[in-house]
Amino acid sequence: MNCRKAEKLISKQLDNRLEASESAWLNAHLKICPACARLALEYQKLKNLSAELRIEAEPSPYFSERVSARLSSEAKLSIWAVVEKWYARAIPVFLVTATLLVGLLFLMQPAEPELSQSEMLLFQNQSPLKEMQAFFDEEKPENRQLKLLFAGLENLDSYQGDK
Amino acid sequence: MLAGKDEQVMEENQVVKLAQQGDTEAFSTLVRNYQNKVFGLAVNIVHNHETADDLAQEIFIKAYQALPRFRSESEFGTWLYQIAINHIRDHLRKHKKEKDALRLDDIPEPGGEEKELSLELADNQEEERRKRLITEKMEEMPEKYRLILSLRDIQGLSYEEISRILKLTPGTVDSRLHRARRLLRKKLAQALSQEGGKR
Repeated sequence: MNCRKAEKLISKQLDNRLEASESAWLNAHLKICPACARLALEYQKLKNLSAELRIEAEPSPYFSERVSARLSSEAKLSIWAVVEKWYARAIPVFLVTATLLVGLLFLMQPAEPELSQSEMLLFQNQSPLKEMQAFFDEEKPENRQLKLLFAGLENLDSYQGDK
Repeated sequence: MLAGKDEQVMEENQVVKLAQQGDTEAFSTLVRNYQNKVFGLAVNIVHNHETADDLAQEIFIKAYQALPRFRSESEFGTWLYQIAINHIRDHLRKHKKEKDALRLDDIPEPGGEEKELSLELADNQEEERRKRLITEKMEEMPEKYRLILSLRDIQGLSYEEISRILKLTPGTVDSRLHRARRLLRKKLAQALSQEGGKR
């Protein structure tokens, strides 16, 4: 436990961040613990070596000019990016608008007028006289008269119903 | 009367304002003022001149794009360093070499069964070899430890600067730095003991 604490304090000592009490405790510990004393030396050497690793170099020549050139080319690209961005946004907006318009047109369409039976038959490309023809094709005259009578009554009912 | 540093900050703030208004010459002035610092930061982390040059250019481009969002609450230099660190961090993440990275939990406490190691340096040649070894081992470390070691032990930035740039409390800087040094020491110890075994 003490050695663990000592290692932390050794690291702080490298940065001159030890408080007086911590410094006193560490020095006392290092006197009685050869492993931590060796560790303190190793950390110090490691820090010194690390400091020597510092590379003092400058960027390649014309650095600011190269940055300016890249900025202007990026600016041109960004204009296209804006166009593409708007173009990409315009597609869904167009689709939504078109759907709404089609929906509106569909809703605002006038209702279809109701067709009479004869008109329906004509619409279905059938002769409305065919049914009547069937009555006249009846051989027995009493049957023919009865059918005509019932058809007449049906027409009268539907006429009164319409009224 | 304003002190020299305050005058410099005021002057810089004016240049920054002009750059924010789209004055490209003002931005070029900022690039010239900070190019060595930004490049130095990058090259000391990635250890490659060309990569660092590219990274530094990209950092300034990012800074230019982010310039409208810069508020003078912090110094321009600190703000630029934050952009630089984030960009370098992204670069390291893309090119990470952490396959052999050790987990900190695996590091034994001092005084345990750890094989004795010595960083004694016999001569200059040996010292150069050790430096190369440190660089190599640092590159294997997770980026958060690599960054803090580079900022503090290699580039010598102050705790306050590191706190501001990495947005960490001084206490976190302390503990992260300690863990980073411990990990580096452990990696070196392993490498040196392996070398010792080969000899």
